[in-house]
Amino acid sequence: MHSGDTWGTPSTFSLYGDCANGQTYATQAYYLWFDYTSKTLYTGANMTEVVRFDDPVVFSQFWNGFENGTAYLSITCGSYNSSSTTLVFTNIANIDLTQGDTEEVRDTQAPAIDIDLPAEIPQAVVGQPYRLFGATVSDDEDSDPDFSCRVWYGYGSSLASEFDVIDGAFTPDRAGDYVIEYSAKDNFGNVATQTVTVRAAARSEALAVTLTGSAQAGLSGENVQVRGYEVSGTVGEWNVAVTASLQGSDVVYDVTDGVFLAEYAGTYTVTYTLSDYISSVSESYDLTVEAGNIVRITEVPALPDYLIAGCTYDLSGAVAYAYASGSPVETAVTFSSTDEQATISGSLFTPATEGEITVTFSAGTAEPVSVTATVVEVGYGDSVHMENYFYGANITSSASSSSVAVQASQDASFTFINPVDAGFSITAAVDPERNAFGILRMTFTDPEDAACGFTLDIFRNEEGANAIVEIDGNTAGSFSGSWYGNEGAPISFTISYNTSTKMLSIGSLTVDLSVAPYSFGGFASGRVSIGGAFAEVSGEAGIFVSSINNQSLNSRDYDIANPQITLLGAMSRSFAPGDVVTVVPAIATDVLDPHVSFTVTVTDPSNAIVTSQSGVALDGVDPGMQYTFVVDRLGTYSVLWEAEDGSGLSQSSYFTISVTDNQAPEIRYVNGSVRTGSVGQTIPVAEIEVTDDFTDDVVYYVYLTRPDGVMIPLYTMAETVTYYNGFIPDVAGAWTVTYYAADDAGNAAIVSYTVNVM
Amino acid sequence: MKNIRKILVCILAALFLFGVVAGCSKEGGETPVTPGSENLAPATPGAWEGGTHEIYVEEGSADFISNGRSDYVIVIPDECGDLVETAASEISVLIYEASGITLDVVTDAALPNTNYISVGNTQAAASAGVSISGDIAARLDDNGVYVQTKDDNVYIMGTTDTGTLYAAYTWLEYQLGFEVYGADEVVIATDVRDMKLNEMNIIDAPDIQYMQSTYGFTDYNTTLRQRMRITDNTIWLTIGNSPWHNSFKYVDPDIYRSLHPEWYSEDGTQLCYTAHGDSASLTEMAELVAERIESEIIAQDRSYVTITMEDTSTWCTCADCTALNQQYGTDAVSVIRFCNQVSALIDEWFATPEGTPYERDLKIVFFAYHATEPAPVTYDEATDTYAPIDDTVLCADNVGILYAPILATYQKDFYDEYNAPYYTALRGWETITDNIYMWTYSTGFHYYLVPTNTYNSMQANYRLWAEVGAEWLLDQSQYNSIQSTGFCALKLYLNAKLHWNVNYDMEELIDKFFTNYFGPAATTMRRYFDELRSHFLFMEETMDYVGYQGIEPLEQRYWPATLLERWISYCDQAEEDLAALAEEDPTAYAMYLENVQLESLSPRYLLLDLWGNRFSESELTALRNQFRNDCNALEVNRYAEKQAITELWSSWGI
Repeated sequence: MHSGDTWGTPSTFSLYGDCANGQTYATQAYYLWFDYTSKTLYTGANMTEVVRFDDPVVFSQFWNGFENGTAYLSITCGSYNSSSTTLVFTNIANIDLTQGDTEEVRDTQAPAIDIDLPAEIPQAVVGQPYRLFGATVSDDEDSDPDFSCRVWYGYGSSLASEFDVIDGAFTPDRAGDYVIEYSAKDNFGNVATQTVTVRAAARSEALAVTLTGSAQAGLSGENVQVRGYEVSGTVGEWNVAVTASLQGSDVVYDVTDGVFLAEYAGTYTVTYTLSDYISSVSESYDLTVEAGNIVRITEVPALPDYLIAGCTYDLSGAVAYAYASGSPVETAVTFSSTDEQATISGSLFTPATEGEITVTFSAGTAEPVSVTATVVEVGYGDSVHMENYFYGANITSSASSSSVAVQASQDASFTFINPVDAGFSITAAVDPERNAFGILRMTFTDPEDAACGFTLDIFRNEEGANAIVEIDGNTAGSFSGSWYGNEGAPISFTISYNTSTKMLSIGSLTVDLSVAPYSFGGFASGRVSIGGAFAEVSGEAGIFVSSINNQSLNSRDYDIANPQITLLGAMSRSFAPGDVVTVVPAIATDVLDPHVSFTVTVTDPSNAIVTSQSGVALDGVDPGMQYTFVVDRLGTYSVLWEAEDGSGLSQSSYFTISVTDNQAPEIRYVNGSVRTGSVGQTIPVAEIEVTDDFTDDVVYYVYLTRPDGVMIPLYTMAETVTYYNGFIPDVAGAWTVTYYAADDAGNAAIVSYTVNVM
Repeated sequence: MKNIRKILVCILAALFLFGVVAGCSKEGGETPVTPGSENLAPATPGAWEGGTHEIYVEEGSADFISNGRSDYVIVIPDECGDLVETAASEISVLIYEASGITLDVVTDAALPNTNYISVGNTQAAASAGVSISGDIAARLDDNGVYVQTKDDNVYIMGTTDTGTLYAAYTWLEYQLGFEVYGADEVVIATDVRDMKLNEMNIIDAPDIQYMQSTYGFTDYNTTLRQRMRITDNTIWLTIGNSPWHNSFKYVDPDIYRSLHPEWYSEDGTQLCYTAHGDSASLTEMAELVAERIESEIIAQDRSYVTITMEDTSTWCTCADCTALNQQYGTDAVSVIRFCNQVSALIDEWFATPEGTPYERDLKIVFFAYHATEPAPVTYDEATDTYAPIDDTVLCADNVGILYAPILATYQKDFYDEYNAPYYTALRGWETITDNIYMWTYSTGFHYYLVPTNTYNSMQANYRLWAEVGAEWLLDQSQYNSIQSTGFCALKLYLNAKLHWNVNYDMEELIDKFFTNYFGPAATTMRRYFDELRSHFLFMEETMDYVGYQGIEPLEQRYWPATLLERWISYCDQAEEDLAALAEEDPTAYAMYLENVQLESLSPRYLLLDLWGNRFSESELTALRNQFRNDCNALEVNRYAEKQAITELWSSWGI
């Protein structure tokens, strides 16, 4: 056994069970010890340490122990020189197995039953079904213990009667106490039982919901207030669901906090449904909504947190409705900006002035809706200043020929202002001359869902040692990142993330984010916003960032990296005629350019444009949507995505779909077959007809299997195949005639029948 | 060659003919030939008549088991070997399995006054006058079985302990219907409460004495190997750590090449069996080899030894070896003479006081393989006979060949024109020696997971090996894979049965195997197997998928995706066929299910390797991972002879 040295940890024992040199079996035994608390492995009778599993010198990835503190021990043997081997275990987990009494190794632990009980057990109502409480059962050894749930009246007495449980409920037929008995039994016969007592009585007061207040009319386009309510006669937990349905239509609104947005004029039925643990009851009234001269903005596009000055953004997607007609009618939305230098053309917005701006959306008499964003000047469309992409208070950034330096002299955070492809790769290094900080923090979030992401903390290392890494506060391991560089030169490390495997790599450390304790589901939008921070700053703090997603970051004033295309899903490559193909949504990103033109084109085997099932000609269309189309021709279909950034740098991605004939020919017996015969008699073979969906001329072959099992062809083959329509058997027994038909794609149909020859 | 042509004519004319089928795709054709009675001969020679299979069994009147009890005991000699004890144990265990009754195993000294089953050369047998006479012993040879019933007692024996063990299985077969299809797939009567003792008079010997184990199934399971009457390497004296390719174990080049360069070929890859023409030096080499064999004879109680060339196709090109090759048309002559010389030296030693205690009928065997494959014979076309070129090429009485035609085509039997050179060589060797041992090839050694077709040739070839008197057969297959797919389990069963009796009805054997190996899934799995066989023939006829070494099977055109998917669906259907058994008989269910899953590996491998583009990346990865898990669970651990299956995982990136 080796750990960290060339000699290893000696562990002497005999693989032959051979006690040589006066040894005994006891001294020839193999010992293995594990101290779970210290995560230390030992061997030998004298407990010689082998390794600590949390030693960062040896392991770059830490192991946090077994999830529930227990583990299965297994031993395998290999490279046998004999047909078997025998191992004698004398002690496992401090259990002495030599004493003959093995009771201690039996499972004596009953299963655990966890019943999902409410805070207060509701009373049952006589004559009304009562839902049983859910329960989960677990056992240390048995993955599927037997479980039962029974209900009794008079539980434990000689007159106890059991009640049927139907669809998870029982119906008490008299007042009194009912006991729900939950019982579980494992493979070793250990039984656990828990009971819950439920008291049943006639409902003392009928369940009722009473409306309060008076009905008030409303206007379309406005939030309309509905009547209040009071409840009575409830048992256990209860709730009231309120809806407003437009009479004579399918329009239904949920009423929240007593109001709903009435989009249509008309008469609404407002319904109150009270449900308690036992049953439910409803009450309703009519409410009139008149047409209102109201305009409302219902939706505005989300602005990125950061806009790049000089870059054009499409702010279409704002929606407003006018309700004067009594129905919502979409109406135009315009917008303005506090950036007086900005250019607005239709829905296109080009900010010009650095700083915080406000964009206000207006539509007629609607209350305007404003959104704010920060405009950053990076030299877009002119000489690019890559250092300006790192934005934050209390930081400075500068570019050199090899990297962008980000620096601070106090705790500070920054953001890379343009979201990039979620399969990211960042190469950076700590500035050894500005290493007076304790933590380099990196945050990665989905730009469309701020709650989705993770935080990476890299801790300043002791000189000569690895740097510890935490992810979302959990110690993940260490890697050779250094605050000190190598003789003054910074040492780079790369942080990368694989969207398919959800593996995060930090230098040599690799972490699977899909499993506990991270359980990260990925960046749904396909993009990631990258943020950073210096924490525990005690002097000058700085890092060099040399690349993001293969885009070199330096003093070069133009973009040299192509856009990146990512499919937001998996696509299959092989289909049969008639199948439906799904073209998954895709995104195109560029590290420096938020504006990437992006299209998708689908062609069939004749190079013609394919039309989707919804009637869209898939010729340079928006790849951000999913499309489906039917393949009806054999051959290769092509899907081409093309992206181009503002600098004219382009990227294309090509995906081929093969449509192949997957249908075997069909063989039909024309006039039946002869199934009996005699030795020496000519026996005709059945005449067949072969058809195929695509192959016009299907070649087929006939084989004959003799009674001795030898299979031979029943034809001769020169330039063409010449068949024989019979055979003369030379021995008695079962002769099998087999027809093998293959189409041009190689799909084969094989049928056979047997002739009994006497 | 004439023999081959005549037989081919019979193949074409004997079976078919008549008119042209109006196939949907074909127009016209040759005028068919109407067969006459002279064309009704079988395509290849029929049954082999030289075996010893005298089986007489009928139900007797004595109660063997009555009302769930038996008064019989099993008696063994007071002193006997392990195999005799194993025989007795097997009888006891299997009777218990059939009836729940435990019969005591006693030695002669403790034999009570009751009916008995005598195993081996017991005193009880001697007292009853039951023994193997000289004539019968000769016919049984080493592994034949002798089973007699006399006075309501049973006598089970062979001329060797191995024969005794096999005799026990023979008795169990005819008394309790014992038959073995696999490690767990053992068929025997069950719930027996009443049974008469069958009267038996059985003298039964394997047509090929020794069938060498060549599957992991039997290499890693001694009980299965024994029950299938398959031998291991232990009949051969071990030189070094293996009986094969041991010439350098005798004459270590690291020691001797500098001292005796004439003992080695120019390129050092083989011995020079002429010592470059230096007869004195050659004698010295022969003495070295003989001394080594003598020392092993002292250490090992075995009667067969090989002096076998290194595993290359090269040979010595010195002037003397070249001259011999030119004179005799083969490089085998120098080896024949060398082995004869070694044999003589050993015979001399046997005659000495030192060697006499170890004297035995020692067989010395060399490879007829690659350069030494052709026999030094002439052929008379007029009489269709072969003859040694001269007397100096005859093997000594105890010297023989291990014929290993590695380049033969095993999809076809040796009577087929494809194998004419190898058939010719074998016929020639028959005139050189009476001691013929066969080493043939039954799988694709670079592609363990791809099935290979030897079903059309197996029986005809085995009959040929029996006809030439082959004493030992290694039908080499996937020896180093713990379990194998591609219906290797069926091949093992056929190997085991056909070596014992080359005339067994092969189709009946296959039927029985499927019934007992797959249970309720037999029909579905047989359908897969039959389609596979017809597909083999289709590939052979239309894509020239024929040959042993020359086939590279991993091409899409050989294995259409839809066909593979259909076979996989058959395996899925087979699992459904077994579903009802899960509750009725969980043990049988698990056994049959494992067998179905093992056979599903081959088409799945071909689909996942050749047709990965039919799946998305994530689907393919998931399927390959599942395949890997199944291989691990089913202990399929080799991808090829020289490659562990982990190399396949690496190539698949999983």
